[in-house]
Amino acid sequence: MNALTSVNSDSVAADAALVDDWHVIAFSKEVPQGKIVSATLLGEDLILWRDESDRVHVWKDLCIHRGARLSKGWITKDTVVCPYHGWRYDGSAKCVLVPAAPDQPPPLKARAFPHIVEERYGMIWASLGEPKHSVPTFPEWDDAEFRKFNAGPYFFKANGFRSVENFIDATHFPFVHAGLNGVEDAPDKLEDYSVYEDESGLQTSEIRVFQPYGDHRQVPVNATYVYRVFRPLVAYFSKGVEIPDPARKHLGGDSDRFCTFLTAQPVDEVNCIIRLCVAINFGAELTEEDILRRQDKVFAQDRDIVETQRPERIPVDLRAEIHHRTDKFGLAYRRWLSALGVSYGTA
Amino acid sequence: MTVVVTGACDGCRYTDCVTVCPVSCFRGDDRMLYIEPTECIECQACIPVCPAQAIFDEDDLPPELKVWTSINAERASALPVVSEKQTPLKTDC
Repeated sequence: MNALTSVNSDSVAADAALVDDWHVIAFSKEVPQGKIVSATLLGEDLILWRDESDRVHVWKDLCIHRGARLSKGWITKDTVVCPYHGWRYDGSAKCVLVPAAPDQPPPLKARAFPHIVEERYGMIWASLGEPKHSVPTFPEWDDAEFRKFNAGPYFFKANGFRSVENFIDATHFPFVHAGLNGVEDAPDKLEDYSVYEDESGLQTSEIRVFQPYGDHRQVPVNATYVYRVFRPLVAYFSKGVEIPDPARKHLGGDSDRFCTFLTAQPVDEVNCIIRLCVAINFGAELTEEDILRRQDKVFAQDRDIVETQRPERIPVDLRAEIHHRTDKFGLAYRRWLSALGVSYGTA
Repeated sequence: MTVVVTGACDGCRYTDCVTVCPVSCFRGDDRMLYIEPTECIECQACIPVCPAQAIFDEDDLPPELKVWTSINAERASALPVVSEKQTPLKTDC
């Protein structure tokens, strides 16, 4: 179950920019064969299930017969069974059995409502419309030097754009992540940085900060971030991590990097689910538990602050909140959302 | 509503303002800077850093300086962006 809320019929319609885009709605491991999983995307309730050929299906959580939720049903003989009258739908979304009339072919109109699906980076991506872009590229995914770990899901009772903007913000570290990503009593002065835009989205130049526990090795590092936003709800950073302490420098190398690919599932305008794929090219001794321990802690801290932000919907009117020069990337993000025609989830 | 550069910048052009502006809305000629009102987000970051006290929120303009609102709008639209610190025209402003 990854649906935070039950959505009623008068929920706000999402913009084409979000409907015609890919969104992560589950990790692949959350959808084993034989199980129906619920999700809500942009206010639409969905089911996910994996057939015997390992193909994942994402359908509207609705049986066309009498409007019951398929998520209350079950899998039998590689079909989804509606819990109300037992109608069965196969992987082509076609109804293959009406149990009350087993000798007749089911009506042709008896079909589930499928959406398109892809599995990438251990994540299940779906679109409610027709995506105008492919699933964003995680730059380190095909690089064998990097070990990858999925982290999350993290349930934020907060707007997806606010949550992404928090992820691409380097000035909250000393306060929200004191002792981990920054030092409260000695916050880094952020040097001016640049923001670039191209067809793949937005990107910063390098941003340098000191972090007492900047990666999973629990050693102080000089961190150099490059942030990117690929899509409105998909962001990324590549963080170079250099150990400055001569006595511990041998614990790392010159090209150590810790990269994070973040997706925010917009459950609705004010709830989202964060999922990560983390890639590191150092610390062969680090276990998945080591990785997740730190990620879980950082994102719990993020959640606690982002859930307090008001208005809940991100303001795209740049005069509605104050933007400091150091917020240049967040500002560019809001301006970009506006230019893409996003109004769902914005104020 | 916007933020306005006034005549105290003329011949001074210290340009500390452009280093704090988050939206690069300053324009300049060879004597002074102006703010492009359609781009200014009214964060007022530039006001306290101006050593000549040349920058005002439009609402706070003294009556004799109100003319600068339209001068900024007219001049800014025809001038290039100034987003990096320049050598001041004088050093005692």
